[in-house]
Amino acid sequence: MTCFEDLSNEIFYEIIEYLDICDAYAVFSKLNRRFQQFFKYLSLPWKFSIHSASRVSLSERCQYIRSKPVADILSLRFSNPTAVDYVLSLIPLDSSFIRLESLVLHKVNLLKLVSILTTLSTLPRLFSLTATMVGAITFLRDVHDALLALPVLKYCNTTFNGKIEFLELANLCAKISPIEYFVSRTSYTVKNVTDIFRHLPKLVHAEVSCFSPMFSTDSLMPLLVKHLTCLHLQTSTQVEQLEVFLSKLCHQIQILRISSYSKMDSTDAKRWQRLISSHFPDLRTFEMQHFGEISSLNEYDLIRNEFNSSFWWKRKWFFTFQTFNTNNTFYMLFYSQMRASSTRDARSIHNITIDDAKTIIEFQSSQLTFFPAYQNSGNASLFHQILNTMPYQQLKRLTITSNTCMMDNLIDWLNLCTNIEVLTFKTYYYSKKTCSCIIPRIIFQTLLTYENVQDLIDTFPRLEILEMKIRENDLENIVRFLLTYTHDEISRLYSIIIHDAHSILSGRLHKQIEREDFNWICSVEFIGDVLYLRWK
Amino acid sequence: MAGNKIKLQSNDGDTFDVDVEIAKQSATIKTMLEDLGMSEEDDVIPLPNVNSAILKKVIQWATHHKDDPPPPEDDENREKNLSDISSWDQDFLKVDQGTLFELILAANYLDIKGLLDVTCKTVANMIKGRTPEEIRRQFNIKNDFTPQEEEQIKKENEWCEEK
Repeated sequence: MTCFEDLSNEIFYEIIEYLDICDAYAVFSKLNRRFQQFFKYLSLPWKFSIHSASRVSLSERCQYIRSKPVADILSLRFSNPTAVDYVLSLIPLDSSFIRLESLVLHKVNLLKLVSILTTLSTLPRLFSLTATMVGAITFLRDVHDALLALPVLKYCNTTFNGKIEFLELANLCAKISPIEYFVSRTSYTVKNVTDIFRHLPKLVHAEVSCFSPMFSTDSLMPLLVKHLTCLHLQTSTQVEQLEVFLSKLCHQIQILRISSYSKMDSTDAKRWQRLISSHFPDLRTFEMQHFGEISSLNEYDLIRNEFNSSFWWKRKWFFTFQTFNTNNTFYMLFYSQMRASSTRDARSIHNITIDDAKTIIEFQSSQLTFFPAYQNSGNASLFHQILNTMPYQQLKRLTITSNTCMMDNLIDWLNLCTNIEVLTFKTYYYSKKTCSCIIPRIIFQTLLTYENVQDLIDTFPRLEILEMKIRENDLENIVRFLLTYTHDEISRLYSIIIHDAHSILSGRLHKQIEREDFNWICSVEFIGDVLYLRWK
Repeated sequence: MAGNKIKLQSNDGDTFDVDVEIAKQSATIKTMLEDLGMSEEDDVIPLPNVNSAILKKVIQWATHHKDDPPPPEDDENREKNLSDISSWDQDFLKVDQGTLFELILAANYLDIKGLLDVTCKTVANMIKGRTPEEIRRQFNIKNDFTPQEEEQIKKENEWCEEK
């Protein structure tokens, strides 16, 4: 029988590609002589990932990274926002990273990013940049200038996670950027998008979000993005204005994906037929999604029939329709079907955003967000109906911003999910049930008390990182409880992140750690208004 | 040779009639047919590195994935993701370790990128988060270090023991 050690080094390279290289080294070098030698002489183009880790671990990881020639590092990924400063102080990003092709930064401060991007402009092979950004919006324009000035960047994936009241991107300093793939979930206006596109003459693939309710279409000039073949647009723009924007693009688009937040007019099949026929002769893939209230099942039948006409069938563009009924209100879920032959395949459902005046459910491939505007049991029922239609193994991020969540049902459902990475709640829910699966991160956007935290640990005993706001008077009790709890055999908790913190709270935490002799704690950091506590 | 089918022969002599388009998911077979001048009318394409049971599985996988869209244009830029294995592939790969490793070798030899990716991901998932001892047990790997060598490795890797 063929066994693991029969696989060639070439295949091990393939497998290691899916693992963190430091973790893989740590394990494989201890297996036996063959694998130890394999790693000793491994000459991969190094791809390093700096994820959540204690300061000691970070320091050792840096040592490992520094043991490799900087010139052989191909990719750096920071998923721990507190690590960026520390790692870059030990391993400065400079012109010696001659092979660095990809950089990923998670939750990087805008001002810091401007400084990093300025340094990156000297790197000759930096083709790919992914960054989620936080901080003062004042610097967002500077970030765009710096991004567009990177000399060889081809793939740019950036998202600003804050609310944007006003962003002016006209007359950016940069002239022409080599970016071919531009991906962003920043809440741009259509005007922002057109301003950015004007600097991207080589653009091939764009995924952008436009949430402008109104914009003047009179001054909109044709966009000279003649290589653009794939456009994915998330928009709340009215269909009339969307038509004008799309018609200004070059006609060679082959793939068009629309995630529309607008009302039922976006499900007007004949309107889309006209637009596609007159403006997109080369279109081979058209995908769209919609969720909204419908007045009756007759309306549902009408929409479904229009999207089942010969125009759509001839092009093999199929759609899936579902209805939900809560409290005598009908909702229609409507999205493109990737392949008619495999509707049960998880990949056939993707990029669903569900929105109406009462409810927004956003399903981005592996991410589901539930925002009910009005709280009632009908919404919760709707949420659970939809949850049960989803391929649960596919879901990685679940956000619930409802106070009518039926927590016990949710726990039952979570126990079936093995891939959930982030669970976010707007309010605190109590459940007597226990979630037995590992939850890497739970985020509470509400204030938690000491009692809430105790109950929470009973419900989610295997969570790894807890992110929350806390009642300030409870700080010491919460920290003491959680640090003591980590002695429990089942516990996997190794970090808490406290939002809306301030320097006095940080000082109290430092004093408590010193006073109560928690000397095995490795790091407390206070960044912006967030307090990070990590331990071994 | 009937229609647009070809015959593939395993190393134990069994032959399989396969649609050309399905077989062409293998870059190796595609090259044989297109670049090396082999035609569909040739009797059989011998595949000396693949046995009958594994070839049957490979054809089953390729048949299921025949209508898959090509990889996204920015595929090379994407992060390698361990969890995006479709439920069909997960069921397909619920096999013993020997079969899984032979599928990897066959996918590599036949140059079927999708099958190689999903099988390697499956093995990576079996490795991720496990200790060296658990991996030794899982894959039956013999520890050939001397006690002194083990002590030395332990010292060098103390940092890796942290969470």
